[in-house]
Amino acid sequence: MKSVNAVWDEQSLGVKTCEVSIEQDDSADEIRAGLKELESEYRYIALKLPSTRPDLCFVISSSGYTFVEDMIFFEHDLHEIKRSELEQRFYDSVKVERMKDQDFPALFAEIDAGSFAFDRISVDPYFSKEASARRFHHWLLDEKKRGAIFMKASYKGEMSGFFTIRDTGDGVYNSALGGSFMKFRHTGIGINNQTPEIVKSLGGRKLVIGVSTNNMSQIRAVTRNGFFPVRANHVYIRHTDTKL
Amino acid sequence: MTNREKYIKCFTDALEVPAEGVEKLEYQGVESWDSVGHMSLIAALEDSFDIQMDTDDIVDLSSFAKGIEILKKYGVEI
Repeated sequence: MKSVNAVWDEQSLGVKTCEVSIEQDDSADEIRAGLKELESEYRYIALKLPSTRPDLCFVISSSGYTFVEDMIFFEHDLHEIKRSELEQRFYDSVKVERMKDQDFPALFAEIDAGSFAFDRISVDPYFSKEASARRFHHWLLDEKKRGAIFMKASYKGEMSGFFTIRDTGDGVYNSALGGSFMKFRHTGIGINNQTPEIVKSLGGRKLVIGVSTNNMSQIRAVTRNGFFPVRANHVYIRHTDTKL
Repeated sequence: MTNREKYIKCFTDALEVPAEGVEKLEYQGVESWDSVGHMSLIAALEDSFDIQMDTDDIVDLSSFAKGIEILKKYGVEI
């Protein structure tokens, strides 16, 4: 079991936060003891349990943790995406280019309006949509500092979505966040996923993304574009000072 | 099969919704009408009525009623 003092989340959420990752060989007793120790130090604990250890779900639940989402990780080996003639027409109608500094206010405004409110913070009655938005702001700025490339998608000159990609080493790229803007949801534009092509053009060999099961539309879209699931984490949370 | 029957079938097949109440359908109203569902719906409409829609019309097709209006542009009366 690993735990990290999530100082980046404390900034957004206003409470001392810890992220716990359960490991494959952890025992129930080790987890109970480890969590008890952390609960005296942190107000909010987010815990990731590999889906390969379903036996531990009972241990986590009985320790007062609430299930909030599954996070499924998908990979793309950058093979050519086969699109129908209709999908290709739509794909060609969307322009993808690097975001400029002047594009960021539009992105942050979209986040503030709740565009990416699928996360565990938004759905948590202890927090708020505003806290979720702050967290996304910090997360994206942090990604930028770490060298992520921000791409924007535009339909007829209007920004319709965005995605980030960052080389994590050995040609493996991670896309931390991305999606269509609310105005363009349900229009078909969201089915376009240019991320693999961009990563390939940069000389990458693999693309990894994580999608929450709270966002089934995105899961449907990525599988349609040739991503395949490789692993999943059950995500639990606990507010140590409440009964939530 | 009438044009209206064909039109309804496009919605029920692509979005996996019952025919009952389909006339009131808007994209926010059903979970299956996301981007993937929208593409399936447009593909069904193009196949059924042998048309090719402009991307602007594809983007604008946000309800059962709006679709009837848009298809008129392609000479299809529902």
